[in-house]
Amino acid sequence: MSLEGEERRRVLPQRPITWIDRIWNYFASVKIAMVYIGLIAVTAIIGTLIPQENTIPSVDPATFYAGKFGRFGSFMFNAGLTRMYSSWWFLCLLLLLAISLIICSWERIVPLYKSLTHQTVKKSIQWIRQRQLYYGMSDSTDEDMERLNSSLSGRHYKVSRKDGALLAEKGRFSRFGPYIIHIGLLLVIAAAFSRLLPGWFFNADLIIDNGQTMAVPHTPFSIRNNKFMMEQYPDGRAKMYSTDATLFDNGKPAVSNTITVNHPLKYKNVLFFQESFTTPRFQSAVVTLSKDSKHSIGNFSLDLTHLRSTYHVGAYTVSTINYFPDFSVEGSAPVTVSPEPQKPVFIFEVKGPGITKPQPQWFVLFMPVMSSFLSKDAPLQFGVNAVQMTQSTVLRVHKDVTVPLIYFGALVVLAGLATTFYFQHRRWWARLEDGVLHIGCHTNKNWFAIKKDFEVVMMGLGVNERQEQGSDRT
Amino acid sequence: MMGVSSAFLGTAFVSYVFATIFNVIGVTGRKIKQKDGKSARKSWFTWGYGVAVFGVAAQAIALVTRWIGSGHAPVSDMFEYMSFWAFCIMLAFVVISGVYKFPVLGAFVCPVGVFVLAYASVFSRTAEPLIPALQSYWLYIHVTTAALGEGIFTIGFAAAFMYLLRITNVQEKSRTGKFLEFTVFLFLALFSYVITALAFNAGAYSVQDQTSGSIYNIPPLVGPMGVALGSMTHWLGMSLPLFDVPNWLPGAKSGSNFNGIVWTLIAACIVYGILRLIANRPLVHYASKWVGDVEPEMLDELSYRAIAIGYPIFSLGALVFAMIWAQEAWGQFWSWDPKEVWALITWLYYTLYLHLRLTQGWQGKAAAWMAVGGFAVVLFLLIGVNLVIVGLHSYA
Repeated sequence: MSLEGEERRRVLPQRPITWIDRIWNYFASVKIAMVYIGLIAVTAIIGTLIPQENTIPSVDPATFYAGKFGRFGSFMFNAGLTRMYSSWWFLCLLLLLAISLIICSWERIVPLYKSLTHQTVKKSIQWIRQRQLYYGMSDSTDEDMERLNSSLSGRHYKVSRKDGALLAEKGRFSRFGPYIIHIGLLLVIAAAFSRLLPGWFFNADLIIDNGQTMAVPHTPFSIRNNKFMMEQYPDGRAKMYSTDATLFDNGKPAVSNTITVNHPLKYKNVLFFQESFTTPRFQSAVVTLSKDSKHSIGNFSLDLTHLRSTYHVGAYTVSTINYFPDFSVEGSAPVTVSPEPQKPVFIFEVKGPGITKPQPQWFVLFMPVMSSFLSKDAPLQFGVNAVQMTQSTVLRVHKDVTVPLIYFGALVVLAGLATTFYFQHRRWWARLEDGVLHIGCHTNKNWFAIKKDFEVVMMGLGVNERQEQGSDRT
Repeated sequence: MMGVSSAFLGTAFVSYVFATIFNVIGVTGRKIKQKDGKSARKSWFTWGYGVAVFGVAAQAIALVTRWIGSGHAPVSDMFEYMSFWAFCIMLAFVVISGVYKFPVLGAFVCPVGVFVLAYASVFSRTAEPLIPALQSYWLYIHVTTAALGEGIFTIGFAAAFMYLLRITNVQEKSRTGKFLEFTVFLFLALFSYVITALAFNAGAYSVQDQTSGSIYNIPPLVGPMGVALGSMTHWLGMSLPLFDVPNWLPGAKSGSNFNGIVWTLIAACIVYGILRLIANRPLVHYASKWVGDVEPEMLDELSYRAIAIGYPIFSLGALVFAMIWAQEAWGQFWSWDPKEVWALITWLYYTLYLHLRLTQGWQGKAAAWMAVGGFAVVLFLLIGVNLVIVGLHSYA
C-alpha cells in the first residue's frame, strides 16, 4: 500500500448521510470493483464453456438447446447464457464496473494530487526510521547532508531542503499511471457501448454471385461481384481468395477494387471484408441427346438459374418430372439436402418419333456416368458438355465508427501501463539531528531498484554496511 | 534451411537440458568443493547460466532459419508457437536472472523451458503453408508479443512457487504442502504426456477411425463419438476404444483430445507413483531443498516484479495487437472467440492480482498462490482452449 493510500481519509459530509452518499461509498470501494472484475471473468468463462448461439449449426436456437441439453438447455437459452456477451446482465456488469472505475479513481486521484503537491519536507525522526530502508549515520555534519544532496541530484532526484531536513523524489508521475489506465479503459467501454447508437455500427454478410449486384443494407450503396477468384494449395486448403468488386454510390460507380482477406475495401467509413465463399455449385450445362455413341440427335442448354419445364431437341421434347438440386438418398427415397445446385439430379421424360411409351429417365448432372448406367435400356441417352460451375463470394459489410475511439482508448491504457509499471516513484527523507544523519527511503513498486540506489548512495557517503528496516515493505 | 533450423533447435534443447542439470547441481550440490576449498556452487550456476544463454542464441538462429525456410514467421501452428513460448521463457530467464542476479531461479525455470519445448515437439513439425487469414504481419506482432508476456509470467510463477517452497515446512503436514505436491504432480503430468506421445511417435503409431476419419497417434482408449466399443483396434490384447467421448464435449477432434488427457493422467499416475515409491516421501521434500536459504522476501518481490513487467507486454500483445489484427482480417476487432475471451480472462486475473497486491496488501503466501494459479490460467489459454474448446483459433 502506498503511503498516501494510508493517509487517504474520507471527508465525511457535514450533513446527514443520504442514499446518494451510500451509493457513492459503495462504488468508491476497490473491493467492490474487484468483485465486478471477478464476476465479469466468471461469466466470460461460462460463456466459453456453453456453445454460443453464433456457433451452433441451427437457425432456431430455442429448439436446438432444448433438444441437445433438455430442460437445462431451455433454461440456458431463456437466461441468456447462450448469448452471454450481449445479454443485458453482462452489459450491466460492464456498466457497473465503469461506474466503479469512475468513482474509485475520482475518490483517489484528488487526494493523491493534493498530498503529492504539498509534501512535508521535515518528517519526524521516528517516521523516517520506519521507512523500507533506513540508515542512521552518526558523527555527521552539514557537509554529509550536502554530499547526500549532491549524490541524489546526480542520480536525477529532485531535492528540496528545509531547516536541516531533505526530501528527494523522482518518478512522481508514475503515481498517476493507474488513473491513466482507468481513463483509457473507460474510453474503450464507452466506445463499445456507443455501438448501440443507431447508425454507428452495423455488420452484415452478403452472399453475392458472380456478376450479381446487391444493395448494401443501411447505406445508399450497392456492390457488384465482378468475379470471385480462388487459389488452392495442393492439399485442397485455400491459399488465396479474392473478389473483384465494384461499389456503387446512389447507383453511380464509385470505386472498383480487389478485396482479399486482410485487405478490405473501404468507402466512406464502410468496410467490405472478404469473409469466405460458398461451395461451388452448378450454373449451366449443355445436355446432348443421342441414340447411341454414333447417332447424336442434338443438344439443349440447361440453365440451372432459369429452369424450364420442357426443352426441345429436334423432333423430341424433354420434360422435367422432378428435380433434386442437392441430391441425396434418405432411406430409399431420393431427397434434396439444400436448394443449392451442388449435386443436381433430374428426372426427365422424353417424347418424340419412335417412342411409344415414354418412361421417366434419370439424369445425374453431377456424375454423368450414372445417367447412362441408370437408363441404359432407354431408347435415348443423355450426355453432358460444357459444364459451368459458379461460386459466390461472402463479403462482410461493416461500419464501425467507434474503431478509432477504441484504438485511442487502447493507446491511453498502454501509456498508463507503461507509466505505472516501468517507472516508479522513489522518495528519500533525511534529517540531521544531534550529529546523526537519519536517512530513509521508500518506493511504491520497484524495491530492487531503490535498494540499489540506496547501496550506491550509502557507498558514496562512506558507509559500507547497510541497515534496513525490511519489515515494512509495503 | 529447415534442416539447419532443426539442428539449431536440437542444440537449443540440449543446452536447456544442460542448463537445467547444472542449475540443479548448483542448488543441491552445496557440499561439492573446489580445490581451494570454496563451494563450487557459483561456478555451476555460471555454467548453467552460460549454457542457457547459448541455448537462447541457438534457438534464435533456429527461429530465423525456419522463417527463411518456410517463408512465414515461425509462430503459426502449435509446434511453432510452443517452441516460441519456450524461447520466451528462457529469454525472460536469461534477462531477469542477469539483471537481478538471482541464480537459484534457473533450477526452476529451466525445467519449465525444457518441458514446454519437449511438448512442442509432440506436434507436427512440417511447416504448413498458411491459410489467408494468417497471412498478415499483425499476426506475427500479436503472437510474439503475447508469448513474451506469457514467458515473463512464467518467471513470476517460478519465483512464486519457490517462495511457497521456502516458507513452507514440508516435513509437517499442511494444506500448502499438499498443494505444492499436487503442483509437482501436474508438472510430472506434462512430462508424462510428452514421453508417451513421443514414444508412440517414434514407433509411428497411427490408427484411423473409419467413420469419422479422425487419426489417433496414441492407442484410442477413448473413441470418437458414436464409435462401436472395441471396434477400432487391438492393443496389448485390449479391444479399443474402451469408451467413447461424452457428447457434450464439442469439436471434431474431441475424441483424440480427450484420449490424450486420459493417457496423460494414467502416465502421470504411473510416473509419479514410481518416483514416490523410490523416494518413499512426498517429492516436494526434494524440491524444497533446492530453494535453500534464499530470502523469501526476495522471491516474493521477484515474482511480483516479473508479473508487473509482463502485464503491460501481455496487454499489448494478447489484447491490443490481437484486436488490431482481428480488425484488419475480419473487420471485427472483438468477436468473443474462445481464445480471445480466455486472453481477456487471463488479463482480468492478473488485474485482480495486481489490485489485491497494491491496494489490499496481498503479499507473501496469498499473492504467491495467485501467481501459481496464473500460470494454470496461462496454460489453459495456450493449450486447454485448443483441446477443450474450438473457435476461430482452432487452426493453431
